[in-house]
Amino acid sequence: MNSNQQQGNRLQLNFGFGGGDRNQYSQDSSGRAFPTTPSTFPQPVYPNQAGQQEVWGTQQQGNGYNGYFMGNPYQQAQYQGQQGNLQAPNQARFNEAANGLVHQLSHQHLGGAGGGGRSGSPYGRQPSPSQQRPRTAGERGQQQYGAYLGSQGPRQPSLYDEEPPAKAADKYSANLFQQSKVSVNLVNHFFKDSVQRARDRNQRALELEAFMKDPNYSDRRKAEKENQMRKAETEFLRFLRTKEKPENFATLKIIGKGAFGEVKLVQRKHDGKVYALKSLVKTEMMKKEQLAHVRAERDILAESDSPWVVKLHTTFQDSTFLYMLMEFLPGGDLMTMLIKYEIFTEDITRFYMAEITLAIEAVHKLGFIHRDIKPDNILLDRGGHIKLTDFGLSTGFHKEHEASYYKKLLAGGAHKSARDNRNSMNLDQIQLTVSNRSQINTWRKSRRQLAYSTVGTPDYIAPEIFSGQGYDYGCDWWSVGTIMFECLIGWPPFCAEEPHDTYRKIVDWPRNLHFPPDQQLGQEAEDFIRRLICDAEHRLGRIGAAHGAHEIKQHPFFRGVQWDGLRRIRAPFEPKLQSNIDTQYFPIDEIDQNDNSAALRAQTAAAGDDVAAEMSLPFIGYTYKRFGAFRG
Amino acid sequence: MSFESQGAPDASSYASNSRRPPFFFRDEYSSLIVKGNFMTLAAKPKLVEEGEWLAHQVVEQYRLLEQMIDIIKVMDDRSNPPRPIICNPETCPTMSASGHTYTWLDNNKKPIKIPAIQYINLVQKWIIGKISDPSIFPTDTSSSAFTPTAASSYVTGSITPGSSTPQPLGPTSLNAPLSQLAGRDWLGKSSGFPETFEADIKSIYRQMMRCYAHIYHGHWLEPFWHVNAWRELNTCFIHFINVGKLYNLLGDKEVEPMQPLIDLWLSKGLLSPPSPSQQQQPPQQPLKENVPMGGTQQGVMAS
Repeated sequence: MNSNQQQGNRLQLNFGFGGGDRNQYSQDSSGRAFPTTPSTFPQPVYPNQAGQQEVWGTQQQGNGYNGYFMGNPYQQAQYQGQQGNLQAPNQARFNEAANGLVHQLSHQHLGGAGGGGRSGSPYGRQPSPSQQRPRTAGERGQQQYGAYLGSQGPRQPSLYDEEPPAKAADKYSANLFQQSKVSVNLVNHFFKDSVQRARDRNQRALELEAFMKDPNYSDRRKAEKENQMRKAETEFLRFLRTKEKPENFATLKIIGKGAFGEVKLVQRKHDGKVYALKSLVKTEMMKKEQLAHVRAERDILAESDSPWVVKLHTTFQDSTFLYMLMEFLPGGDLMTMLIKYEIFTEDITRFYMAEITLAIEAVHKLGFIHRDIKPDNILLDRGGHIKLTDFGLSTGFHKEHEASYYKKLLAGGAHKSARDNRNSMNLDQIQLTVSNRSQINTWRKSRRQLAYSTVGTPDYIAPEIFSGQGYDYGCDWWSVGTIMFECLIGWPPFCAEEPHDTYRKIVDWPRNLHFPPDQQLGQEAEDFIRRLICDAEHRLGRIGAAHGAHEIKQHPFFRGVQWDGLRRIRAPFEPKLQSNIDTQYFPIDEIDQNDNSAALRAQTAAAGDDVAAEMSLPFIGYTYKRFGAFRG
Repeated sequence: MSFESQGAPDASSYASNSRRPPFFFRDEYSSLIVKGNFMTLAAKPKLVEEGEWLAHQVVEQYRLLEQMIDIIKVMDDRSNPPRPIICNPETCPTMSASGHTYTWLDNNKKPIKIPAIQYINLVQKWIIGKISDPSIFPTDTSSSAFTPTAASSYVTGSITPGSSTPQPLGPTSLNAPLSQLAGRDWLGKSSGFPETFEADIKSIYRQMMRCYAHIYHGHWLEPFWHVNAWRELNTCFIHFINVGKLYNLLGDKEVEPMQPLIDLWLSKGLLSPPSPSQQQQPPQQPLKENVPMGGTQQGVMAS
């Protein structure tokens, strides 16, 4: 913090103490703390997730009813109104064993206890409880199956055998297995989402009930409130079954472009709400073969309701694109900030590192490793606080690809990057110090270009991810170290002209990590970086999801940081916005504003088979939707 | 057990034929991926109008079924022209399930047998047409669309504000449509669903039931067993049946090909039986076999 040669370039907003020490920072920042929580902080509203009250009692067998169907068509009347909160009907008895918590989906792939045993199932002991068989099923049925399975040759497995045939992994072509996997995955998500929705709905009903009982509100206010809730619930159901379409949105600006698609600032036509709409080209995504996985990841993060994660309102698709409707964060991203300011003071760096630490902690607590933490994925909301985005989606670095992909890159450098045609200079051997600022400027210029390319930038990726020997939560902390290096020094530690040179440098990091002598860092800052940019087994925060962040927070670099209210203090940089569609913090000028979606669509159409395009493309069978999304 | 006292017609036929029931009617293959009672997902929320809720349910049920159908429709890209690996005109020359063969009506309203895959494609196209038609499944959420809802709900008494509360005026006898004054009402009317809505969703449900029946009887082994998707199939189907029976969208006859599995789930308490009082009532609206389904796409039972 004493090396302020770059003072002119440093970001110095809101802090009146450019080179101040960290105690001053913390005092100062607490003095500036906002008394209220900005609206960007959604609070979880589901304090008790036990869901006991949602579990319906069921009647036990032996009740003498055969017909399930003889009921009054409107028998559901008994379910509504009674308690209004999905409580058990009076006549039902609770059965501990059968009920359980509805959301016990942890067994979903396992078939529960015993159900998975398909070789020693006790067939003999257990006559089918159903003694009734379809009246029309008989010999005809048997013949039918015989014919269908082919009766000549070796005996074919039949539905009526004692045991089903052994499963053969090579029985069908790969695409059938792939489709099954997708379907299974989507069905799992459907039930998980639906149970969650029922639980949320129940919670809202309980809240309304409490409101209705509150003597402090007038009857008129209560009636209004109930009507309002009725409307909200109905709107949500309609929203769930309505297909969202890109035509429902007017494009205001293209705020980002990448290899897989683009991000637009859009306004919903019928209510004027503003969102960021990300569209991804399906054919490109398909090549990654990781959609179900990506989707699962996205959903969980989107559902997390964490203030550290960009909110995903909904996803939808057409034959060409996969769309993600997200909250618009007008502050731009950290990459744009770094391009603009080149370097931050240590205090400002500390603020961002502290927020990034909390954000990563939130992601880890959800059981996820981001793996792709980089300045481009760190967005700034209207208060200047950060949120993470792009959970592996933008670059497609995924398990099955990683090892071989990186191996190839490391071996040959045969990989074509967006910059291959440029008159490139090999920076591999050059130690990057201020003395070769011109090279750095070259790097900086191509910074955004690289961010938008297919490969993405590898600058922040931990070496163990390349090696294919497995990685853990710790890989995200490596990224923090490299980002912090860039904030303080002005470039990431292993930057090079070509991505494959960056890979090489990262793998051989001990020989390539240099702190330029003319930019003296604070001792604790340098130590912190060195404790993060190191082997996985020695890295700070390596101890896993729950405790890793705790260890990081204890580092002396963060001394004095008030972790609990960090999001409520004023950020060092607060976007000054003219309107809710202000895009001044996005490099609009550098982004081609031409909409080429029509061309891409034409391409898809030319590829044919768009009759049932939606049915045949199993991208997201269930569009993800969140209650309240349409309400802004 | 209750089943034994009911004189099921063929109670012992599997045994007498020394033949086991098909796998999917056996206890050990009736398991699900979700624990608990499916009523949680089927019960109508208090604040939601019934037509609105059923529209939601039908659309979601279709999305689930679609996932199962997608498995049997996967194309063999090595064949030319490409055709489904699992369900194609050779494996399934008719839309059949356990001795039932479902027919489609041709242009002359004559029932014809068509390959299952073709039948299923027609059903899907028809259902998608219905559920994405805003005149049948309204989607408008602009506030004006809700004004009638709120107003008429006062009229029908589902909100009972305190008597001292100033009340918004609902439709009065001066401006209410004659039909309403005459007491004519239908499912979803207050939410803006058309009079045909109930018939439409019953037809959709019946066709979806046939798809499930074919999937189970024709494709449980090939491929659901082999690709390990049979528990998901069970889970989709039990949810389908639960909603279908709870809201009377399905008749006994339609579920017959899958009755043993339904009875099995019923016996395990996974499905809720109707209450005794309701059981004694005759069905209010016996399901008609030939509800108009629009055009020539009426399917009928021919077995």
